[in-house]
Amino acid sequence: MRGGGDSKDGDVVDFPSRLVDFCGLLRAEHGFRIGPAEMRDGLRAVELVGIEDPERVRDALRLVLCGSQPEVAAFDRAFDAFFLGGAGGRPQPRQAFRAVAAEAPPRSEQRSKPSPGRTPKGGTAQREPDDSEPALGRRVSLEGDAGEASARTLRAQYSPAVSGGGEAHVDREARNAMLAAAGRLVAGVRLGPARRWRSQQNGRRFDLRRTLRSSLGTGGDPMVLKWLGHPPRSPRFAVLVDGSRSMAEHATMMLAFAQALTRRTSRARVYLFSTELREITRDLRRLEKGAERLDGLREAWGGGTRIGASLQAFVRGAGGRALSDDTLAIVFSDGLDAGDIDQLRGAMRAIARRAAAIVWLNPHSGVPGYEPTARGMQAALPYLRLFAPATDVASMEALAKTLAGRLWPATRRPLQRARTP
Amino acid sequence: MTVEGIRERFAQQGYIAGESFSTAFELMLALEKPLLIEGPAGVGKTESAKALAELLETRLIRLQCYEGLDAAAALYEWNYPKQLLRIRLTENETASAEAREAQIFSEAFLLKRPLLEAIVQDRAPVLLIDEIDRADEAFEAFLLELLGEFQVTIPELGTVRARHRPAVVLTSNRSRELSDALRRRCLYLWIDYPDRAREVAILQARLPGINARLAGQIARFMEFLRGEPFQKVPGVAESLDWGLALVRLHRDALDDEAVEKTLGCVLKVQEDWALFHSLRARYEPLLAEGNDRDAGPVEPDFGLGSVRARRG
Repeated sequence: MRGGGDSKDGDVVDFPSRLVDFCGLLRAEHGFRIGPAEMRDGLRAVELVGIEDPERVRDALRLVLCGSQPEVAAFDRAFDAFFLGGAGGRPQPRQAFRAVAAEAPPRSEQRSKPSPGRTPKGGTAQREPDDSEPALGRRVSLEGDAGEASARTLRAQYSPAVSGGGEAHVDREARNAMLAAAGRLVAGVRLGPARRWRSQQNGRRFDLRRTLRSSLGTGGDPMVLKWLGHPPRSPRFAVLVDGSRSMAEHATMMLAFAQALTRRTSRARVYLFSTELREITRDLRRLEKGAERLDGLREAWGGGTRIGASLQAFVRGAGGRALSDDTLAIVFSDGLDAGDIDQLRGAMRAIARRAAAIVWLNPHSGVPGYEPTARGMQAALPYLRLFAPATDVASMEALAKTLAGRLWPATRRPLQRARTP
Repeated sequence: MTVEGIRERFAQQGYIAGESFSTAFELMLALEKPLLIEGPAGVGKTESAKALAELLETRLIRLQCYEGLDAAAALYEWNYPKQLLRIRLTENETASAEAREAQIFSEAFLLKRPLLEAIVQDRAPVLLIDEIDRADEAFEAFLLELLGEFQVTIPELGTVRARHRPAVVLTSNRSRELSDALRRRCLYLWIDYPDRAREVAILQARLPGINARLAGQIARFMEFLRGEPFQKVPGVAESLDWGLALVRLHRDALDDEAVEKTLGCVLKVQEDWALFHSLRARYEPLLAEGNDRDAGPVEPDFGLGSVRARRG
């Protein structure tokens, strides 16, 4: 009885095993992290609020099973579909839950079995045991059909809908050089002192506790004085890569650099945009673990260029978490914006206000005779701390060198408008 | 305590709680798990913890997080100057070394910071850990340990166990991604901006002098503002400020002049003002029509709200 829905009278299933199935669905299809402890709490919560009112059951389960705002929306949809038969009423695949059900803690099920008087709310909802589409199958496809890909290139996939398919190659040759450049950038950027106190030889605040502790060694006389000081801030990075068609040949280089950056610091976030914006930090990490391509980029790769709208989306959404006084924002684009220039200006202003500094990398600015005359470039220039070329590993090295050792928030004036490295 | 009971008592505190909100507090008290509240700025996350403490008739212990918050500022610290002084004063006494040691490492020399304070209360308090996203990741890890066990080990004193588990409320503005471990340990509640009816209820609960029409207009206007791409979207705190300002200025309805005069209560970034003025065509109907469409009875609330109330 533990794992399944084979109750005595056919289609009425006891609530605990329904819940276990539901948790399994959330885990398999939506990537929720639900363990036995959460299931137990979920059952206790439902026990407390009763199962007469589906709204309250949903409220209670949402509190226990969700952990972030995106999960809340996914949860509500899944709950409606699973327990209330939802709008689509898509029957749930059965076999995906078998393993999950077996893991569930049997004790809690016994404890919180619904009283016989109550009929479980979703008990009679439709549920075909042998639906053909396995829930887990969809997840595997993320790892990609890697087989044929050569070991020397990482691949990013164009959105077929926008650009007619094709693949971008992230060159692995320059990998080590990229890692070195990224490491140098991470180590080099100076943001000034952090707010916290650390033991420091030449600190400026007297550390009574450590002084007393060290005085034990000298018979209780404080011979060695200890001091506290502020350690340097460690920088965060927000890398925004233009993945539009006009940038395609350069974007792969930048993606390789961004990937190197995510390896060198855990405080880097990478976004790719073309006509829409997408965070690809996790995807880059997955490449590291052996996946061969960036998948599911949709409108963020290989389409037209809407820099203003994409940056605006960044500021409103993900930027809230990615930007801080410690953040160095790196934008990689040619500034050829097909959208509204005022939008770009507004977004740049918002980023400039919330980040420590903005660096704009343009693949063309190293070309002799280049002038930043593109409308988008003109709009962005006033907000940049540094405008520099970026075409290959050497230019990234040069960038790291230029940025090294500057006190970012302290001096708000532009460094230089470098045209050549 | 039932949901209805909780909601009613929240209302008595001037805090209008939604259904899922009351369920959250009920479950939090029943399951004895911390509650993590996220949501945009100014929707009453902190306020809810205060109201909870009031309705449980218990103490609110607040830990405001900031960058660089460490264990000494959050948990406990020995009062070194006092200890040194005591050693000096008792130098000539004949008490044994152990006795003197026990004396200076007793509770009287311990400076209790909010987290320790919260677990030694005689009555379970409400512990509010405010803006946890501002603290460092390291502090978050440290906090996890405490939230799991509710005990603190002080090497010189021994382990202090919570006499009563405090009701823990954490709030976050999402300026940083919190760790999965922390999220898993908590119940999660997302509070969004209230809908119009709820906003009116909040305005009326918090500003007893406000008339129903003005409250309705403010709520409608706020609904409009929150749909626009402002840099700082006004929250409930802003609409309360605004309502108070309008009441103080003896306005009984929103009109052009009133909005201009009090715009600073609502929009707090210069670019937002510019955007707002460019939206004039869209908000104008809210001012003109609002006077009649919402037309509740005009209450002549002499002295409190308005001196411009029409008669008849």
